[in-house]
Amino acid sequence: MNRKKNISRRDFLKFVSLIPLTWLARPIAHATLPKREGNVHRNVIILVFDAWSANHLRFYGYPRDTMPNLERFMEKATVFHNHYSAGTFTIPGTASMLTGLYPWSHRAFSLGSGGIIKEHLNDQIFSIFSNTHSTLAYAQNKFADILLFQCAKYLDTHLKVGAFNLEHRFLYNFGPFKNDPQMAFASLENNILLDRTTSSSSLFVNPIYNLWKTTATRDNDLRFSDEYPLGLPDNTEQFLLADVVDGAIQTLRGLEEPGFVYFHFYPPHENYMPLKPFRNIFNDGWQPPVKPVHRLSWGKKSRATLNQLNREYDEYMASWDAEVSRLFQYMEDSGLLERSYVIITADHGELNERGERGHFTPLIFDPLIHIPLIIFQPGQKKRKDVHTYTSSIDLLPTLAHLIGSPAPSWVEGELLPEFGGVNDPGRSIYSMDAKTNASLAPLTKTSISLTKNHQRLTYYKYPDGEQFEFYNLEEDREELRDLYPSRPADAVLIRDELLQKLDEVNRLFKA
Amino acid sequence: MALTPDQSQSQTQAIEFSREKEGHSLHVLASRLPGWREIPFVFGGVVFAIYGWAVRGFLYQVSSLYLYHTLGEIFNVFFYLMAFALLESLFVMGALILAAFILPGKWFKEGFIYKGFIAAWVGSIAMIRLEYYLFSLNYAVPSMSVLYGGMGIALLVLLVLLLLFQNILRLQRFLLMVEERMQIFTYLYIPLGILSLILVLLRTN
Ligand SMILES: [Zn+2]
Repeated sequence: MNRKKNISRRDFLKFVSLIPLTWLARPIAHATLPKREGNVHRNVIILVFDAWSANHLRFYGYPRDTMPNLERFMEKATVFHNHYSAGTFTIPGTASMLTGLYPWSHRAFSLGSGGIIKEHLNDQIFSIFSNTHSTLAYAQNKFADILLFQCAKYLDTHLKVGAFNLEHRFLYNFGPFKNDPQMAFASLENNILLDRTTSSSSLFVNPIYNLWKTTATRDNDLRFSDEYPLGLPDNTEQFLLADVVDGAIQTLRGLEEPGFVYFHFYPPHENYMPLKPFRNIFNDGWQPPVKPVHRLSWGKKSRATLNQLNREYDEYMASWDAEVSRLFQYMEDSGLLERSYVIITADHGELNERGERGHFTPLIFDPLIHIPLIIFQPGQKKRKDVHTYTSSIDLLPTLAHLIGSPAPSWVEGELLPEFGGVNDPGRSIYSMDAKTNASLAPLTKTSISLTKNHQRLTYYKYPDGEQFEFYNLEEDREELRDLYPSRPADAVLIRDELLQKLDEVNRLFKA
Repeated sequence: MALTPDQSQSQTQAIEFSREKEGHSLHVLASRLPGWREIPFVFGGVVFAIYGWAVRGFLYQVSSLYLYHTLGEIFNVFFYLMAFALLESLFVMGALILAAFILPGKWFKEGFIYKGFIAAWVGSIAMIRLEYYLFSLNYAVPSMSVLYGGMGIALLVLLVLLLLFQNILRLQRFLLMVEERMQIFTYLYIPLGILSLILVLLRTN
């Protein structure tokens, strides 16, 4: 949809001749306009950083100063201290943000190309803004991009996943395939042209493609080795952090206001590729607390490997901070910040501990679900802090509220405190993982955590056994002492609540 | 303007000569290509290898697809794979025909019926080896010496097999029998590939 039209001289004269009339009509128009008129013209800009754990920011208590530029900007924003993602990886984390629903409702929680179920396809954030704002979306993560394709009918502009990348390899959004992106993705990206596995369906093309790809990757790594000593960031296509930020700035320059913008950036997602000035800046000898390999760990990585990964993650985050700060600065200098609500958050966190690497894990611990939420509102000059427990599913109803729309009936989230919501210390916040559970079957292979009143109960329910873990987050933020074996009675209420919820959501999908 | 009988005759001769020449060059061109009756036999081997590999890939994926896609969607993925396998088969067959066209006739064109088949299968196995080799390197760039070495081994194996089959008639007969049986897959897979391609084109347009 193109809202920009050239105004002819004739149109201009018509417009001028109507000015007195509009002046006369003002009181009537004002009376008929809903109260939301004040905010409806604000832009709403969501910046999502992928796999960005709040636990790795100094602001949230981390010993390393990973994002000093962002933290400086945060001084003029509302910062949520206990904000949690509903999912543990891109698909459920993003889908929950976009729908205001828990993964058990939107059902986008399996690893792969499955998206939001058709019953909820219209229940998403872009549908709320499409009548009042120009809508623009960009996801640099292909799994998030597949979800954006599901929202296509509410998008005025859908930038390609590789819009700001150095290379262009994706096929599912290319040429005719963009008319059938989900199936093309499942077939071409997830089966025919595959790396990291030998199960491709192509006997001749795939090995040649991989040979070409590894060579091209190496050549690019060498070309940019002065800037990126460990190699270039790569989301199947390699990219430069600076290009992504430049692309975002250019896009915002051309924003049709009022606009609703969803930018889902890949950094600091693995592979962690810090810029040269940040390489080794955290070679400080600091070691995270010792956390033994978890019984359910898929990775079973050594502590030394994970400590090294954490260091690289921090250095990459610092690199991203240096680049993305230009975007914040642009928004401030151009006055966009004054005309917009800007939300900075993540789709999920990252867990380089207990044997696990990244977020390919059934485990649920704080670094994986505790994500930053920072909201800039026009005119705000001082930081506000919210300590209440909040969830990523709260974003949609809150943004709807900000532009004067009622919270849609489908949402499971609530209004965020400071933005129409109340501080409810006893609120129940769920996060779940069900990577290997069929999306339309009851949850029988799942991990679900319930966080409330500074406590967290996590239920691991898998065919080879069940397990509860119970932590007191106030006294034990690192979740080192599982209280469930020694004090199961303390967890009775929270356990019953979680089991009841699971039973309730499973009832809908029982055969 | 009317032509004199002489003019008309010489023009007819010129056209005939030109046609003859054209026919001659077409004939030369055709004579460098493998016999049309040989191609389906070789194509059967190509189709068997490529479609077999594609079905293997699909079976690997189907259990995870089943987690989040409906049966109809899983069929759609299958159609994509079959359409791609058809194109890949035609591409490989085209490469074999091109090799027969370019190389001296005695090397590859003569006896294409078994030479093409052997080349397709040695190529397939080399590609599988390459796939697993890249996987073992975690998709780092392989050393050129290993790649050239691998190509050398594949060519050597191909050469030895070609010489062996060229000189032992019984082996040729045996291979022909195998190829004849494999042709059944062409009748199954090619229509499936064409149908899949049509369905994919309908979905994407
Ligand atoms: Zn993600």
